[in-house]
Amino acid sequence: MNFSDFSFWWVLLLISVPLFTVRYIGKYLNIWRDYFDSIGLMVLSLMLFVNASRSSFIIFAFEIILNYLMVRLMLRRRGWESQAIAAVVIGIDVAILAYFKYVNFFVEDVLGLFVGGVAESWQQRGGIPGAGAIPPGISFYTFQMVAFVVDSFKSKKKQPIGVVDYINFVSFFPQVVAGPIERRADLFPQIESFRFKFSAENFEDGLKWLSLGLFMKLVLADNLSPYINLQETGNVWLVWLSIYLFTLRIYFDFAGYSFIALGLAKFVGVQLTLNFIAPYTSPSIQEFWRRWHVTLSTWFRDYVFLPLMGAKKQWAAFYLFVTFTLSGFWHGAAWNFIIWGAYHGLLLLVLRYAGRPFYRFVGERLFMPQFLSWALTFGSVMLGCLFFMESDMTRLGQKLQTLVTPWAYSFSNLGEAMSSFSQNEGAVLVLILFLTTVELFLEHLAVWQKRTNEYDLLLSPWVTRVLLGLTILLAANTPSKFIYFEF
Amino acid sequence: MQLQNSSSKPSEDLSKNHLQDDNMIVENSPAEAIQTWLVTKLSKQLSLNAKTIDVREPLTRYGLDSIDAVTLVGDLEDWLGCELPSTLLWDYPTIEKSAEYLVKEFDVSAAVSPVASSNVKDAGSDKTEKVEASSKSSGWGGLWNRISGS
Repeated sequence: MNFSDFSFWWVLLLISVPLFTVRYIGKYLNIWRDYFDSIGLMVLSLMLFVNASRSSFIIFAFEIILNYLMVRLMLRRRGWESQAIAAVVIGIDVAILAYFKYVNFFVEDVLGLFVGGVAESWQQRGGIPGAGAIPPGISFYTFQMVAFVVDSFKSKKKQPIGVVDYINFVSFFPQVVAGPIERRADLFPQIESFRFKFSAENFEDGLKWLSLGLFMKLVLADNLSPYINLQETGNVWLVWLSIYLFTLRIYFDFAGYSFIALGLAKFVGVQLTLNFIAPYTSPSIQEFWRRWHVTLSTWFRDYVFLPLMGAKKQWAAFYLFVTFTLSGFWHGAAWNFIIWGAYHGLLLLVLRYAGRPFYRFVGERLFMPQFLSWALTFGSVMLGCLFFMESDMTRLGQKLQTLVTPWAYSFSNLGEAMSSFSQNEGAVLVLILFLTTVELFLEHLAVWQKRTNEYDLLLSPWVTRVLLGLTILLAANTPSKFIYFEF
Repeated sequence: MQLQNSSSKPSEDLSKNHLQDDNMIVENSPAEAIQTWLVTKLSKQLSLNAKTIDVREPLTRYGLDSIDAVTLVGDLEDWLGCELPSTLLWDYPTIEKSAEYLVKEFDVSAAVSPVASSNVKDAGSDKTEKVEASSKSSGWGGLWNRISGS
């Protein structure tokens, strides 16, 4: 769901008001049955999905029916039959995703490398039907459905699953389009026999996460967005500035989305998984990946890395690299995403096999402060963001060349970079960067204080109110689309 | 050793045990034995001083990566003689939490008995013997292990 789109909130209100009015009257007259709550949630989720994307909804509806019937059949069978059903349904899910997301890339960019003229003739013919634009949310709900099949297959309890419960599990409106990618063990028990749990505590908790999420998205991410200049390749300072701003933006954009989803779910009494755990406080890349987009990382770990590796633990390094590269490819059918994934995989391996001996050597002789570890980690993540944000391979090459040219770091280039902003633009940028610094500092502080929640300080009552006030005052006039909607 | 209720840092207590007698490690509970095993193993694997390892700190703080996580679980399986979830050190990201979970969910009494735990420091070298022992006791499974070379 596009939380920065007015129509989302409008449709939510339009359905919620009559739904909860009828529910209230029904409860008052004692004619409201508990299972009506599940049906109400289903209607709400599906209507919001239709509003978000009709084209994606058709595919979504087809996948829901297919997955539900197949899982139901799978749970009734044993042994190889059950395994075969699981394999078939996963195969179909992945094939649908691949069709919409990767066919054009394979024909134009992979096949086109070896066979001349293929890309041009493919583009002239317009590709295959429906493969031009990726239906919103397809990656996320496909991953959630695939995980459900695997978890149900492994589950010791082979109890039948209710159709309404299954629909609610995969279409739960706060998270269906961009995650968190919820797992059966975490979300399904909450969704099974769902009841709206409106309470003052849930409302307060929900409002806190909602305020933080809205502030991150509408104030920080959306106000940083106009300053990211993808065209600039010559001025090294502007290239670095864009990389830095993009690094901040992608976090605030996606964590903002996740926290809004978390807040909305809390309102109705559902606890979603925390998808970001202050990733920019990480003093190592390993820790960064345990804090960044947690549900996707664990999905790749459980359904790609561990099954691929199997018992061949001596090949763990190779499979780790493959998994990261595949994760990059999932983010987008383009070379830059593959490079980004491979870069992070390689980074982990280099740190392990070269960094550790080096650190031992240096650690024995020099003092290695925590700050330096953090700075190196953040710098590595920033460089990775260059590969993530730049889909034009020629421009990416030019930028890399600029970054490694020593004389590009001149004062004249710095002056030119500074004069490229008007006084007003500069003032706004400084203000937004100040707010991002304060936000990140509060995350760091919570980590240093070893609080149970890294966002504890940002969720304290008075900070929440300040964030809500700042969102009303400073929200960007033109909200940009959520970055992860493209994946 | 009262690890759970101790006011001092758990890792310090564990380290003291190691230092008191390098050949004999005595723990009061299975959870402490597993913690000691993990501290020893982690300190060897990451070339760290065992004294610096705090069992309540996330393992990533010591540089534990995914490869360490899966290999460490493999070694733990060999030592405890039971099949463990591959995601153990992700789901329970501190030594203290992992040990608590293992004691709660698995029968670890055989491996963490005083005799067994006295050999914690040789856990790695025990691996071959354990495989052989299990091969002998597992009949046709043992034959299969010999044929497959595992």
